[in-house]
Amino acid sequence: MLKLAAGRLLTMIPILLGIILITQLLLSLMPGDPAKIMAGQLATPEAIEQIRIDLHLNKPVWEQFGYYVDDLAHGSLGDEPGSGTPVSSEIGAALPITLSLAGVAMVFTAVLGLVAGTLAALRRGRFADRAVTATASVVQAIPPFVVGLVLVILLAVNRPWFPASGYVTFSDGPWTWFWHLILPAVTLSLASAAELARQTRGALSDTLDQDFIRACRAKGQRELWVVGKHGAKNAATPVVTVLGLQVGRILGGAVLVELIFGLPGFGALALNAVQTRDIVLIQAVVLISAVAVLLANLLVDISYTYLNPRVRA
Amino acid sequence: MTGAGRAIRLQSRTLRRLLRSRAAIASIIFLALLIAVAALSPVLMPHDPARQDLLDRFQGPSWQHWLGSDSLGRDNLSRLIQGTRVTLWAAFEAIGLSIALGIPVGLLAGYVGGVLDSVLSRIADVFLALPPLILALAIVGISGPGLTNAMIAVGIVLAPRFFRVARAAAGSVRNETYIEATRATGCSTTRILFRHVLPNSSGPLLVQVTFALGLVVIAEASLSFLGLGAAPPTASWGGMVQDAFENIYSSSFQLIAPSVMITLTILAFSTLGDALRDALGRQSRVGD
Repeated sequence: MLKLAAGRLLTMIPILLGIILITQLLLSLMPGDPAKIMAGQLATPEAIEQIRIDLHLNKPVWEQFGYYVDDLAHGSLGDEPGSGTPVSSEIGAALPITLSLAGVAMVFTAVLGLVAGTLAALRRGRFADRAVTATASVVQAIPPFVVGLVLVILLAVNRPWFPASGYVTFSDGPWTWFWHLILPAVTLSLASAAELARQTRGALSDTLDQDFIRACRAKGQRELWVVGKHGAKNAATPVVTVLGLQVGRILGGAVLVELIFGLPGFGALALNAVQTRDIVLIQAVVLISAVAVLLANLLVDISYTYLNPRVRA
Repeated sequence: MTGAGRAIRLQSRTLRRLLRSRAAIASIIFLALLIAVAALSPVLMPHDPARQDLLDRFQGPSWQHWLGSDSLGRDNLSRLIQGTRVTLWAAFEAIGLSIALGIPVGLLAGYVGGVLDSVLSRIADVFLALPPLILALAIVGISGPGLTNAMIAVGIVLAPRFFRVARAAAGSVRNETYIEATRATGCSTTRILFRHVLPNSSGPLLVQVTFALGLVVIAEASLSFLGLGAAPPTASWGGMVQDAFENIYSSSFQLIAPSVMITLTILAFSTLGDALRDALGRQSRVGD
């Protein structure tokens, strides 16, 4: 397992280099003068020239790529031109908020998706199954910002049960921390939970049709044990895959949800980078998102070796 | 029989199977209505969608304004109709771009194989490693906001999906005898790819296009909601939701209509995609 993890970590490097190269190429296609855009409207020609030198914008693309990788190897994601603040400190401040949000959202997704999907699989063709399947396909079609706004209107504005916006750190009190994250996390997790429910239903009902399940039942094993142990373990592979895919979706959704709920997290930072057209920050956001998605894929692959010994070879 | 002839026979059989599904028919009717509304929008709009009336802000439904008015007193129904046109046009722009980028390159990669295939597949992997919305945001951040830029971004984000399906389809027929025969008659590679390989993969590609249209509608609405899509005063569904969000303490009524339209459109595309996949049966499996 360690060998697999180490090997997979190594294969991440060329993909990340590819991402850096593609972002650099896209940036070189930026219409207008990036240095002028970043400097703002009141900047002096000297300030613009300084930014151009600081960001190596006067060099060809492959040299810019070299400088970026070199900085990265020294643990730097670049500095903001002008203020000189390291981008890594901005990301460091925003990331815990998004990680809290994503963590709570993943728990909601897993619980909601697995319970609904299992229920549907066990009552296949019955009312519960049809209700879960229909609800799931409708819920998947609702964009996250609509879910968020409806929740804000119903549960924060009309009935002020939950805070409409803001973030409280965990150290200020776990309960207030959680209370502020419930609505954004529900918003983020609904579509993911719907997808997970559909996948769980499909995988589990396929598994329960197989001969070894009939053998377990014929042996007189209790239904809970048949479904919970043999069924769950054999149906888990596609379910874990879908769960891993939600990391990318949640990161993207965080941009919308953090705007609605006023959370100063990674998504808000990404939106800010785009609005101010801050190319240093855009590059860092793209790179960090890619790392997150690739790490999630790695975790999914490692879990395969545990769930299905056949892929271990 | 030529690939194209086979594809036509296949399509009529698929169509019959597709029309047996009531959900599919409902989706087709809904989407046809949307297209009609978009095409006839100048006639259908009861008011000028950009005309402000600051004395009539946040109106509820009335004979004057069926769906009320927004924060600047503009007629919501007219804006919804204009938004339909904007959304559909944007969806076709983005899909057109991603098809034009993804399919030829994918067919070539799958058909030629070898080094070219591995290089192109690695590039597709790099794009697929990024969360779609983050990648679209980054591209908009580079190119600047605006509906066309946003849809170029979405088109680039979706292109790797078409690349994958086209590549798998081309790879699966590359060694078939009929391809070898066309090659032996001296057919050019371009002609083989577009006349003989592409018609054979039209099923899975059509499924992919249908699902992708739903994704484009979500993406357009999200980017417009973030203020990076359609520029004011042009109305878009996402922009209308944004206006509702900014005035959430004044009025929540105007959130309903654009949200329902976005959701129903996405639902129609995904239902149609599911039905199409079922109707194609095993045919749609290539490239999954």
